[in-house]
Amino acid sequence: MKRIQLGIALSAMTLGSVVACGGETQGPLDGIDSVVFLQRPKRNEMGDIFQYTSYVPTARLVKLSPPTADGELTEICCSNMGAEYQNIDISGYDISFDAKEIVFSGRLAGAQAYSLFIVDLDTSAVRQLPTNPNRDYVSPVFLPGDKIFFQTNDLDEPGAQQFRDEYERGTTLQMGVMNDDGTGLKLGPRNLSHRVFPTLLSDGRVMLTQWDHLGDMNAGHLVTVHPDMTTVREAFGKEGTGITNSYLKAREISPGRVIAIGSSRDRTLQSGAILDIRLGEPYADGNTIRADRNMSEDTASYRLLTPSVPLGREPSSMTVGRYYDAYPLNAKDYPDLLVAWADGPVESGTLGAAGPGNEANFGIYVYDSQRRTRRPLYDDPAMWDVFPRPLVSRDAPPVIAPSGTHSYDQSTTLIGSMDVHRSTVANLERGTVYGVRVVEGFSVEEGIPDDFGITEHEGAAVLGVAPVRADGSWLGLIPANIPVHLQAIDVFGMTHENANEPVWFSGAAGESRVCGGCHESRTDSVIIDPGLTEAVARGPSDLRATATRDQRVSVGGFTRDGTVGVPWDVALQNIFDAKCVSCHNGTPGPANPSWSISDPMTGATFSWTFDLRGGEAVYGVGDEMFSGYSRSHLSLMGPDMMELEDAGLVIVGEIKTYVEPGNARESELIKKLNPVQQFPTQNLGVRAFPVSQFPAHAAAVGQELTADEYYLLVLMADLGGQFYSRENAPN
Amino acid sequence: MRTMKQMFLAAAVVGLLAVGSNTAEAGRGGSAARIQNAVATGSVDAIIAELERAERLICDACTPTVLDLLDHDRYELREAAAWWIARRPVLKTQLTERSVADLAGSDSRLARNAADILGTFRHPQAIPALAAAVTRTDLSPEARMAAARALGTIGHRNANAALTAAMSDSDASVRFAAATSWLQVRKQASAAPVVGLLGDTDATVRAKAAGVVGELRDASGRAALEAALAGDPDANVRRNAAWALGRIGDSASRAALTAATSDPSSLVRQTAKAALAGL
Repeated sequence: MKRIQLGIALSAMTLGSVVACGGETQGPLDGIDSVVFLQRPKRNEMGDIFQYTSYVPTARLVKLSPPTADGELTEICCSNMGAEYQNIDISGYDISFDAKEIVFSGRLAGAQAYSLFIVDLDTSAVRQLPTNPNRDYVSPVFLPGDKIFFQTNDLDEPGAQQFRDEYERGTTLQMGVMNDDGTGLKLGPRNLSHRVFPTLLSDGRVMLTQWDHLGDMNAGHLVTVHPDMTTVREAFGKEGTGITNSYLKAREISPGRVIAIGSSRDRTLQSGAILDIRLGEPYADGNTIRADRNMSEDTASYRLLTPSVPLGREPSSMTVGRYYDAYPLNAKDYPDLLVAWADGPVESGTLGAAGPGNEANFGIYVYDSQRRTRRPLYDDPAMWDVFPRPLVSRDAPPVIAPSGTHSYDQSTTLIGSMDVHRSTVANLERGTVYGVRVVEGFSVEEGIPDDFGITEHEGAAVLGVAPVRADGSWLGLIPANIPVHLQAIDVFGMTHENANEPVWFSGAAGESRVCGGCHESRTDSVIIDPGLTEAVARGPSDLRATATRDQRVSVGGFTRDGTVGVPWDVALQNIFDAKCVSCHNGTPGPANPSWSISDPMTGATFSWTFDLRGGEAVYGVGDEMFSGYSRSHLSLMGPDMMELEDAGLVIVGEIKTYVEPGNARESELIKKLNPVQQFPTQNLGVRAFPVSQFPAHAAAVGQELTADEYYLLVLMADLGGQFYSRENAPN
Repeated sequence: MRTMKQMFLAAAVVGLLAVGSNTAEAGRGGSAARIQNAVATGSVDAIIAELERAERLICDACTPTVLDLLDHDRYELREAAAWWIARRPVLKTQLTERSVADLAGSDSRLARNAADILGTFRHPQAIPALAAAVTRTDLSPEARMAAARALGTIGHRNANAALTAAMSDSDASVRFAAATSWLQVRKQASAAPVVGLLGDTDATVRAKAAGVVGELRDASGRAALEAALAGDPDANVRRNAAWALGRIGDSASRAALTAATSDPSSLVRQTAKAALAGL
């Protein structure tokens, strides 16, 4: 086996490091007999950071003993396990607490899926766990109590398909748990997009990377979850605490402190810079720096341990490279790390241009984060040497008891707040919040053959509105395991400013997810006894809690309470046709303003005049036309302004956006119509805005809408202005 | 093999275009130059990333490059290119019409591309054209396989008859794709047509069939699964049959599963034990 390559050794030397050439004392590796790592054949295709199906046969788990540059490399698994394992690829692994077993994710052949295996390090016996052979099971992590946490694209909803990311089309990974003997497999509540790279924390929780996509939000954040897959909590990356787009492959250094890779979403082979993330206030505990005091996302901070490494997707420089992963060897202020690092431009395009044989070459190094030096341990130039870890026993974290279940239908999830007015993001004055609207999310897996409309918003289905009680509390029962987000609404059905929750969450069957407020302060204590809230006393609202996916559609016409989705062509176009198009019909004039865009390079021009009629609409210049879905949709939502600017087009006239996606209250359409009271009873005599300023246009021109029609328009805007809803999905 | 010098020259060029970002730029920040540059690198990851970034970019100059990708050797790139075009209804309409014609034509490569395009567009109206193509023996197995795959991507129950027909194809890759697609159909309740594939001549098809019957918990496949568990020469087929019987959960399978705990393959023994534990 070829050892450390000259080029890499030289590159390390140029950073002023001491290159290990023999078996001298290793410092941070003192007392460690062996280092385990994964060898995967080199490749230049991994997909973005959420992809998991890159298969190249003949991966293997190996052990370097002692962990020095002249240590002996021995194979743990799997070429020595028989014919069935000769073409295995291995994507990830974990070492048991007693360091006697390794659980790994392997794919035995190209026509198979990734499944889970456990290898006994004493006997070398391998056993495959009985996972679904049609679905991938990856990223296993040992949990205390003889359990294994994993990610999978499997799902447990008959007739349904797993969520598919609307943007990058990948079938999403979700979380699951099983016993290490293969029994007791349970799939957890799902995110609308991916969840990847779980790791166990010393307090017993699991941390993982969650792709958050709701409207304009597109980023991979760190979240924590209990081992029973309940109690998902944001940990790092949002609320201005982050530094890059995505954080992945987190590993705990000490309580409240993790190492993670920070990177762009794509083109970086899932590698990037190393971050030391502190989830709370850092403090010294002997030689250990911890950060488990006052942990909350808005008090989290980070230290960039590899400042030269790009945080975006640009090619990294020679001697700088990128890091695939990092494992902490101690918890000093500047920790020593076992890392997988590749030199040069670790960027897909550059490596592709360089051609076969020039794939990124990850090798194993010890990284001194204070001196910013790497000391090489092992590198096979034909393989990616990644995920190095000391082969040592460790204390199992405490077993977190399963979350208590609520006392209602155990197939449902209980959600609510103790006092919705407690909020750090919205100014919710007491008495102004009528209720909380619960919105289910879904994506293109339900058969919508395109995007959901001009806006970035996914499919939305209203499960219902839970009234907020006098003490600010509310409770509702929803279907388990589906992503939802919340909107605090007023009596007009409009979401309050900044009270349209920008993230999906979900709950397990029987789980109770009751928070203090509406994105309440993460550092304050909520002192209300949940047993004493008025919502508890009255009982939860039934928010289509036991309705199946097929049943969660609008029934009985598009009334206030019967509406689930707002299919534009069915629910809204009838309103426009009956009450708007006599004036707003595409004839240029005061009622129908026009705009145009032109390409200064080609002279091609496109003009549009406000038009609330139905019928197909497109916009663009030249041959490059985009769907406007319908004339009324394009007129109210407007074209994508950022893309017009990116394309360098000249705009003549004002392109107005009459609907602000996710914000009915600030939408010009809604202000102009001045909607009427919806809750607790509909009342056409009570308007949302002062009539002196907003003179209720439809009523003023003799085309008054019904209360239900007002609600549909408000709902359309607050949900995100989608054209398609579940009601449009082909049967 | 190119030299390191060439590699870093390439890096310099790519670096000018792949600028750093702290945001996802999902559907943002694309350009024709970036797409063309990514195509020039030959990197599948880079090309897909730049197509995604130009999702909604008004970009006449992008179109010829993306259209070329529809004929690329790699399915991943054909799929990504079709996804990009699906956002552009004029182009999409033109390509839909062309693809339906290509599926009816005699050029298997064009038919393959057409199937991938129509699958990515995911409109059930394409099912009749794909259904006709999937059984045309004058087309290449690759084209028929692409048609079967596209039917699964569309995922509509109207494709069931065509997928059932494809399960009798003479080529294993087509039968495998048909069984895989069967599972992708929304609201699919029965695996009855797939049961027949448990006796297929190809082991990968039999293994897939066992998995599909198990996932859909179709008890009509129990006898065939038990036979496969007892006598199939391929360990992966027996393993999947054991898993499927456990999933179906009929205690009548206990004897077959118990016998399988002595199977020569550890994959089968372990799965059979787990299945027994769940009966």
